[in-house]
Amino acid sequence: MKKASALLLSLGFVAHLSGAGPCSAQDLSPKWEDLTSPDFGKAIRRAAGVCVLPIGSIEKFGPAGPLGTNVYVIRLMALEAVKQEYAVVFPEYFVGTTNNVSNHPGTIAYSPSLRRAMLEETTGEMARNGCKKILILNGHSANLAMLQDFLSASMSKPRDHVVYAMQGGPPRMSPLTEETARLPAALRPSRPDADGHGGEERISVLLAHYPDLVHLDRAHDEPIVPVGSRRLDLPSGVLVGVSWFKAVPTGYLGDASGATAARGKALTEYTATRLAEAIRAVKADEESPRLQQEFFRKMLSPVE
Amino acid sequence: MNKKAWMLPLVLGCLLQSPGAGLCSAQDLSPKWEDLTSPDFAKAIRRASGACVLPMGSIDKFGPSGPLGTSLYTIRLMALEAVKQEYAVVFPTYFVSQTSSVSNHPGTIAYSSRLQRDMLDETTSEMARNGCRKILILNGHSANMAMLQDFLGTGMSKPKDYVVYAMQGGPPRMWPLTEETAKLPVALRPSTPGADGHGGEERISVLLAYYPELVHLDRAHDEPIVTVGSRRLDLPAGVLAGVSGFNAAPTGYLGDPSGATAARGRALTEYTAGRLAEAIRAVKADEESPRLQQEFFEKMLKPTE
Repeated sequence: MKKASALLLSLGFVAHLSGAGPCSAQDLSPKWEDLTSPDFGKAIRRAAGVCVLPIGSIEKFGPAGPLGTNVYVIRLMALEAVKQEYAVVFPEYFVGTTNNVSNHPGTIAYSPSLRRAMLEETTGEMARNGCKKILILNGHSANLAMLQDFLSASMSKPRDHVVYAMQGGPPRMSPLTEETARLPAALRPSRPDADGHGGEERISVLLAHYPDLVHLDRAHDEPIVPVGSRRLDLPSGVLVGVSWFKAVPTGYLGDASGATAARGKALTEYTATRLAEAIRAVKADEESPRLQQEFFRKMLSPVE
Repeated sequence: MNKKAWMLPLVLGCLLQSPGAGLCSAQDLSPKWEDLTSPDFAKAIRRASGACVLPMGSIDKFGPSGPLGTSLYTIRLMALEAVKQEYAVVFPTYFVSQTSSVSNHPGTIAYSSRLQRDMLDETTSEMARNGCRKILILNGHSANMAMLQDFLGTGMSKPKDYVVYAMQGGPPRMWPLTEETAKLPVALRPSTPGADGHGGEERISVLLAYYPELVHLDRAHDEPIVTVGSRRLDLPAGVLAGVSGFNAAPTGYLGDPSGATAARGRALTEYTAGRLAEAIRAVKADEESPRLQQEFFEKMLKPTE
């Protein structure tokens, strides 16, 4: 019986010669953890060695969103993007910069040295497994400084893989800039000050894709604080660690109550396409690997 | 439609629910850390009496039939099924595990020993900072066990006000049968004596029951079938060597999952989740370990007094 069913499956495989169906390359999951080990090698080849590392965070997301909002949103964007341009997506990752929001229940805040070590070893392990180009998709804006520093510091030691990083979340649609004003109106918030941390934008995305995780009825359980309405009395340009605690005392900015699944779908489609374009560009990029090699040669022997 | 108007039925629905059941009750608090809102998280910790679970999986080869995330999927499933019976807060996805000895296979993620230890240290302390007074690590990757035992041992080097427990959280080994496992339901047993193993019938059965789309049973014979224990280094009993796993399972594949069934997977899950729920219950009730730990730290800090 076992042999008979294996035969039927094999016949099914033969019948699917043209790149579609259960056994074809088209069906290789983009999710690292869902691939078998033998399929993993095929997936890396199909992705031309391009892998994506979506970075989220576990932290308060207002009264309406779950602690994992950023993880859910950035992984969704990545997985939608790789439907358009295949790449291997690293498993769930949430070792983000959350120390300045660790006053709120449920925030997981790893130390700076562990965050850096984790990023270093994760990209190192990805490269060892064939990811010659790694695109970090940042889903938690507070990570950006860490990522910029990580990229700069990574030039300290020769390596044969290139790490790229970009903000991977939906575009900021408030206040409108010259650029964002040209984007579809469906991406805009219902009111100018509705977006923010825990506000309408990402809650709309969750509403479209994970509605069971959203509690819109609780959107007014905490005071509504528009983005930028609370600032420390310091001259412009002076940075201080506690500024976020001043700006967002409850960890909630904007107002999630007007979130809609329609906006969430529009934001996801727009963002996923933008990320797919970035993956395509990273695949095509020959200059960064070449320049990186040249840099390392000169860095190792700067006086030759 | 006016927003307030549609929120009204929700609010009324909440008020009409009987205590402990329904849409707005404590029964509906998700056990998943990442799915709770921050305000609900505090309620969840109270409901769990400060008991939290850390399921530890791994990303490593699981034969030709199972996905790289097999251990991760299995241990999270067991944990989430267990907390349906005895509520506890379940930590998000965790796979920083001891996989160095299988890092020769494509797709294995092998963090350094130092990072594994630091990650475990910070994860448990972050859990404690968030109110987890008792943390039960459910190990889903057997190679972690030595590290976990060492972690618990060295955890006694610095006073802390929370207790970390650990246990193997996967299905019981049903082959070879011991006096104890022989008493368990026959539905838990493999179809043939040598079918279980790393990538073999046991966990593939579990995936088949809950995540059938991740299993490729038709590929079970794509690699040589090697029975657990059939290949050993020629060294005296009791002599350990790091490379022994590479000898024992050269392709990272032991056993044969071709006879895996969803029925066995369900039986294994029900049995294991029941056993884990009992453990969570026991951890909640345990007053001796916290008391002894306090006593130990007092004496450790002033051993000559």
